[in-house]
Amino acid sequence: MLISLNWINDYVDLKGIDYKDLVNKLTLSCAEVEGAEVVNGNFDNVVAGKIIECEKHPKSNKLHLLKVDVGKTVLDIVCGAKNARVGIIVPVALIGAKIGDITIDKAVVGGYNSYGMCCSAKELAIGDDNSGIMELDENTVVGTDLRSVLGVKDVVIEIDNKSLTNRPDLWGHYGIAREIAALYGRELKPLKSIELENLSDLPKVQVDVESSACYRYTSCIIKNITKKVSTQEMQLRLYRAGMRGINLLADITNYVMLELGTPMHAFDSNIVNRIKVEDVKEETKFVTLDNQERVLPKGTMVISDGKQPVAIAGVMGGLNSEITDNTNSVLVESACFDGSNVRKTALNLGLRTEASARYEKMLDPELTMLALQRYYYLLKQMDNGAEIASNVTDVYKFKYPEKVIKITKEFIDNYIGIDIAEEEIVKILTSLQFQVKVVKKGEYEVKVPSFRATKDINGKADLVEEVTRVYGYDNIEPKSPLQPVEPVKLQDTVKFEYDVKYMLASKFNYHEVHSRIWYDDATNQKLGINPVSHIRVKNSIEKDSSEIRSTMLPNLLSFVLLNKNNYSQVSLFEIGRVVLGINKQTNLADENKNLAIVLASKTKTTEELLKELKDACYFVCEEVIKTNFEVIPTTKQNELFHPVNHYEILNNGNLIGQIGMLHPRVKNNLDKKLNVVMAELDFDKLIISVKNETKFEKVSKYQNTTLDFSFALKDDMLYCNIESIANNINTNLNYKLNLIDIFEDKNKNEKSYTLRYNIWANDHTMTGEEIAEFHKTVIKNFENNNIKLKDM
Amino acid sequence: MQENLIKIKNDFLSKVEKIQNAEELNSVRVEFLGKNGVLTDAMKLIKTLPNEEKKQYGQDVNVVKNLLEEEVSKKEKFLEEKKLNEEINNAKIVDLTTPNSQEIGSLHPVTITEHKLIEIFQSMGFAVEDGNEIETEFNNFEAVNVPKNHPARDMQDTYYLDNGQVLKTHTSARQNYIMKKYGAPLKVVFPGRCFRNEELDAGHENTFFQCEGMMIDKNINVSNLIYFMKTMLSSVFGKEVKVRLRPGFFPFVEPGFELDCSCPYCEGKGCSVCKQGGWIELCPCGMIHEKVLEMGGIDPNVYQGFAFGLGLSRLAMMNYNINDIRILNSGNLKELSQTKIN
Repeated sequence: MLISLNWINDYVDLKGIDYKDLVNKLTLSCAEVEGAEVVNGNFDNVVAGKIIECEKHPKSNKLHLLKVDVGKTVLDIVCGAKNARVGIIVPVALIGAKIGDITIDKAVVGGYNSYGMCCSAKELAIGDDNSGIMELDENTVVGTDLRSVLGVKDVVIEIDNKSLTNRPDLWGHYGIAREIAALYGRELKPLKSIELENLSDLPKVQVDVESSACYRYTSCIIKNITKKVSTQEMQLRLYRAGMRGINLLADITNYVMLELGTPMHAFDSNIVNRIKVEDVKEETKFVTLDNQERVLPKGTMVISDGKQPVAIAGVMGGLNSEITDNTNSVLVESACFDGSNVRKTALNLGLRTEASARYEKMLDPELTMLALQRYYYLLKQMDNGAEIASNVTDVYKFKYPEKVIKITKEFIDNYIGIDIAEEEIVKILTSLQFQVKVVKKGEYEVKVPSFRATKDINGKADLVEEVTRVYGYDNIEPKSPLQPVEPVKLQDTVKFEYDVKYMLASKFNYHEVHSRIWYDDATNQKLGINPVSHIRVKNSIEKDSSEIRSTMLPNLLSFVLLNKNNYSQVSLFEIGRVVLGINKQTNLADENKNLAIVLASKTKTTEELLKELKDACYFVCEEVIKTNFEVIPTTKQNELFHPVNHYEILNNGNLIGQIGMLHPRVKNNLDKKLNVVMAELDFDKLIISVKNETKFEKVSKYQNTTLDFSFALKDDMLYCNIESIANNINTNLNYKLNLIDIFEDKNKNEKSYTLRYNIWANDHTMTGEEIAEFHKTVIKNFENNNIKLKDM
Repeated sequence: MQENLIKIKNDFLSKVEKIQNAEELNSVRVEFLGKNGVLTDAMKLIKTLPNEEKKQYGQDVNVVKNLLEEEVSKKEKFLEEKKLNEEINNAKIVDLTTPNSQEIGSLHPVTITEHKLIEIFQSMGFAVEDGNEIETEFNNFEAVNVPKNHPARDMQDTYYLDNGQVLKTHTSARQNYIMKKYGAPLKVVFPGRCFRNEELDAGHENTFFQCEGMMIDKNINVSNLIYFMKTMLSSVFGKEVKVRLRPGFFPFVEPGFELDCSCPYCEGKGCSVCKQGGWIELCPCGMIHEKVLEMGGIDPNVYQGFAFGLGLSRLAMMNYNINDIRILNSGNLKELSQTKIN
């Protein structure tokens, strides 16, 4: 929102206040100021001049030959503006004047000498109208410097609208002025207005309010309006506040809105002379003031004249009842509507206006009468012949209850952590127009002003904020609470998540990435995969990204695609969330934390990669989290994994993940030359089964010995089977088993595994017989399983 | 001294002088001092001498023997030294100035920043909680005092899911759960990933991280909030920073603040990070709204508390001088691998 300090100065005397200090104070105590700009037009040496002669150029359709009275002299000026005519007073740039970077000089235009230039508002940077020359008010004294005619020099500050979300009272200059008055301890002047009383002799405007979302509707008719345009001063202020002059009657509605924050609307009363506030009973087409046909959904609240809608309540008026050049009497409304109703309409129509933005903040219904009175006052200032033509109809359907909050000094002090004097508390609240009754020392009953009572101020904490922000947050000293600090143990899930990441990055040199929680449909299509999704985003503004992932692998594969040309190996991992299903009873997403790793290499074989990846997964489980890790091959179909080299990862017998090579079909779509392996683990389940901390075992002081066995195996025999045979031996000795060598004979479809038993006894030195017996037992055990020692 | 001994001595010395290596020295040693060596033979001559000369001769032989042994040992040392010098002179220099060949992976900038934050909060006695990314509308909005049709819902463009849940728009969505789990008093931080349905550009992401924190106890007040924020941020930036509060509206706190931190990069003088303002807007915070406490099962007449939400992604960007937030979710290793492991 743009705020003109000239405008503010009408209500609070800003004399002696540096605008930079003002901006800082507002930011620290009221609302965020995004910027402040000193504006001063872009001209020099421009005066008011009256056109006393205006002839058409003999050869040009556009040009006029003017004689312009600039006070001291009369100048010949050639001018191309359409609206040039005798009698109007316009800004004239004299010879030597500066307009932006241009210096005005004597010129020959269309064969005639021109001794100056008549200017448009836009050329002077005091408006955005460039359709013709600017027409100054008719009572402007000829020859006066333009700067003393208009408040050209001003400071415009921009307030972040977001910081005003909860402050309906700050959506106009008067509200901001109230804050400034409180912050600087200065007087807030009342708004000048004309009381609309004792009009009972006049006819009443018929107003029927049917919609429950219309809290108050206040209106009257004003007649005998002869002026068409508002003063340049008013137009300049509208311009500085980001709006523009349209016509006299509309400009005043906007002006009052920018003052009080409450929108108004003016209908041509020759077209609209009765009012009905209702919800449309069926979908209705309606042309708004901006000449757009819009479809109002059933139930939209509108203002109608009893026959047809003439405005969308709280949003925008209709073209059918707009103020025209022929309008000489006006039906003015100031209404208050329910914020969420207006907000919904604005959202439905995709039409957010200055009015709807204000209504949705929940405006104060008490303001409507003041707005109407202010409107009449401003109109009379500019068009003294205007005359009230009706009694005021004021339908007040919903009045907010009066809010009185009881609060003590002790509460305020405790909530902030400092001691604020009673006088200070009372002074601050009073300056913000709260009524404070001191019940007894340190106890107050505070009546909330109506413009703060619609939603903003509800309880004691809100009053604390009012007192503190004006008192100054800077005056609060940081203080440690008195509570003792106790050591905190990190939760396993938080601790292990970081430890696992650190290990994967530091020991295995993998790179952590973050991918999105939804699939990228385009990548999946390219890879020819259609991964499961249990839940969708309904309203994403990005296309191709609605399905929430149940596996993280596709998104990591898309990162492989992105990086593969820059590296010989791409090793990625992510710990993130997936949705594994929807709970049938609660209908809630079954969310899970997973760990996914993908390795892609141009130089290593898939076998090498897969073993590396298995090592990494083993480390994650057994060494970092200290839980059990096993892999077993699976034949379950999966579009991502290789049908043969696809394994399930087990943890104490429970399935917690899978590991394997990328399915050849997907690999071909990704990059034929790239070997890809991947794994995905259920991180939540892994954490559940954390073992106890490592305990040292007692090391035997007696000698140990090693026995090696090489077994001849078929090449589809897996070590996990060999291992379980090897461990199924009956012995009194202790042993540790290691696989120390693998030999594969590709020609014979055979391989051999060399196992090493490291054996010892805890309580004596083993005898030769014992060792020989162990040796025999192992061989016999394997023979029972049809596995023989390899021929040497 | 007998002539034969003098000859032996001279013979020995002239031979030793020519010796070039340990083998030669050994053969000379054996030749003179060995069991059948020249000197041993000379010793045997003692028997042939008259008795009165025997003593002198024996002494002379020993003198010569000592001298020879001493010479051998000297020569030995000399040869060792010579050999060592040759080895040193022939040694090749290993080039340690070549670039490091050890590869290293990388942690995500957000992970490292989050880890540092957690360590700080832990040291200040805060428990750390994890959170879901998918939340109920209730937790995301109603439980933090944002009722239906509240304009504040417009401030956060929400992703709605087809089962009626939402992708959480802020970590505050976890507040209700935390209060119910811990009860009062509590001190908890909970980092998490949040989602907003908006267009991406260098400053806006639809997927980003926050770190929320709450402290609830008896007699907690605004000055305590400032204390914690100042202490925490000074620790994050590794230097004393100033903080200031500005009014800020967040439905779940009252009063609500925007917390600014004096720019740690320019000491508040004005730089590109703080957009010349000297202050960085870092952390919405405030005293927890009594309705929020009530909904979390905590009696606001007994307990008060503060809550804050740090922009974790933003903090990571500041830490690593990342100027485009989209890098964080890009998966682009050219960018992301720069962080290494801390």
